[in-house]
Amino acid sequence: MSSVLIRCLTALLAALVLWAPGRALAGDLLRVDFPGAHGGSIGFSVAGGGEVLTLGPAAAELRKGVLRLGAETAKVLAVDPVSRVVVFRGVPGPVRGFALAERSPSGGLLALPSGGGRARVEGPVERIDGKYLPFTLLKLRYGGESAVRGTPLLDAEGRVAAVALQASGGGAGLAVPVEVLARTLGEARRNGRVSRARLGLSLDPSVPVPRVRRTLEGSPAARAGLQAGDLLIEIGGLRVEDYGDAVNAFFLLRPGVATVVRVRRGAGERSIEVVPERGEP
Amino acid sequence: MEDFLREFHQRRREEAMVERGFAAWWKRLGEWMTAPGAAKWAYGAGAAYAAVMIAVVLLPRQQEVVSPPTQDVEFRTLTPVETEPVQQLEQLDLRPESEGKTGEQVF
Repeated sequence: MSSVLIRCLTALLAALVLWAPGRALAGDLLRVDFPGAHGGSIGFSVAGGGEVLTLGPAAAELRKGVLRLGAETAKVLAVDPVSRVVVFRGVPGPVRGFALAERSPSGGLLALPSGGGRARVEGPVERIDGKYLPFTLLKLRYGGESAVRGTPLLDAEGRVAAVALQASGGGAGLAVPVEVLARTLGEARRNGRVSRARLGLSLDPSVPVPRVRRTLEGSPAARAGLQAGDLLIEIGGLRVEDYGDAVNAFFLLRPGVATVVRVRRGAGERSIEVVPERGEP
Repeated sequence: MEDFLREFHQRRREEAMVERGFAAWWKRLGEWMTAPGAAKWAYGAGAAYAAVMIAVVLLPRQQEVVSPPTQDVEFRTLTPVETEPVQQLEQLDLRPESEGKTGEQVF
């Protein structure tokens, strides 16, 4: 009797969790074309400024993106050639916008906004074919058909937790985490363009541990007191354990915004505040 | 008494003959060595070498130093392994043919 009750409660709880993202959409989905590129992308409006975010096919095509709004087209506000995130100017008139989640999940289920299925988050992806990515992606396993590029993937509260990047076969796919979207959108809103944060330190990808190889003379890292041989432990609140973690943490830093880098030097640990300078994207 | 004197003189003569024989031999040797001739240097060198070798053989040897017992030490030869260069993409380009930057990366 008790087992039947437990099963019923579990099924009810699962139904509630899975049903939540399937409610009425909080934002608008739009079609974005990139002339010359194969296939288009899905764009989605964002709460707060009404901008439309999407992922482009390749860096060379990003500026050519066309967002059609009936007879009108929206202009590109900013692009990030590294992540391929494209930000279109705010759509005129009242729009419904998706809220962005604070951070991407490391597991669990995400929902496609069209009610077309769900995807399970299988974990982070730092390397593909032996190459480190410029930031960490999410690996997904779709329950049905894989999502079109740019499709927002929603958490249980209907917030965007990731954006579909591409399918990788066998029902698997890759997605860009919301941290990357938030960083790009924040840079676009503040500066009208996207730039990189530069510390001026170097790491060696052939060494598994994130140890500083050297600091460039006069760089923010050198001025703050970071030294060659320092083992990076935490960057901007993100725990780093290997080279891929450090690369991802560096990508999310913002120029001009002070951040704390925690390092192990000798037998002790110390926290060093660094203000990254603006670099080219 | 006469026997005693006879025996005394005979012993003196024998000693004188022995002394004269050794001195004469030494004298002849000295004269032979001082006489000119290249072969004498070779004889002299050979005699000196023989004397040194005799000394080396006959002189008592010092006690040999006993080495401490050795311990077996395991060792292995490490061969450097050729590793593939690790790349990092500058942009999110997942095409198989895309190339990244290798070696030291600056952030």
